[in-house]
Amino acid sequence: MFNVNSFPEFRLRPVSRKSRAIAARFRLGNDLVWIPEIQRSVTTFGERYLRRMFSQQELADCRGSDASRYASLAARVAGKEAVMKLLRPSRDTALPWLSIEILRDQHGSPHIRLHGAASRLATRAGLHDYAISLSHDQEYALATVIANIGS
Amino acid sequence: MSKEKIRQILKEQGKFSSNVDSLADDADLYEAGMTSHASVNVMLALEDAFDLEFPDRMLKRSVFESINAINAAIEELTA
Repeated sequence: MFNVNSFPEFRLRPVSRKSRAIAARFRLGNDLVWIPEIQRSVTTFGERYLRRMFSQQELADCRGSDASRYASLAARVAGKEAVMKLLRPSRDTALPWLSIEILRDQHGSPHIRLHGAASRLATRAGLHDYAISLSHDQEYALATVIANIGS
Repeated sequence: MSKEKIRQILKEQGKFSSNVDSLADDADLYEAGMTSHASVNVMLALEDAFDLEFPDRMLKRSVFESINAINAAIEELTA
């Protein structure tokens, strides 16, 4: 029978004060999107879906073959969802998808630009210095976002 | 009539794991499995079905959290 005491590296240890202090300085969000779901939305609702979800710059960043385009769009949806997890809006806070932009810099690295409601939520929560990572493989796209809290 | 139409759209777009017909009008749709992204598809399908457009101020969880809440939003937009 498996005995956790035989594997000391797996034993739960109390969280140290130092670890708690570090965790309190960051907020982390991630999200996973099934790429065919995005393809279905584009096929069903076309421009209306794209216009409600993505800025002109985001759409320009996602140009390419159909397969590459849907993967890039899905990664941005995952990125926006991950940012929403950081912002933690209340059920009564309107947060349009367009208020969160996932853009590429001149080197191709993704970064986040917040507008309107998203920007106000971030300010209220004391969030700053975001880092985002996007990935996709086969049918799934993934995003992870981290931000500092406070000064 | 509106609530039947809403229920039909939820069946088609909501990505629920449970049977939509078994959900009460005030049941929490997010707790029943609707994702944020699925709520976008629901919103666009509602716009088509009821010939309206949800403004930015309504793009919040409370507007799409139940059949009653969606119905109230549609009544407000079509008043």
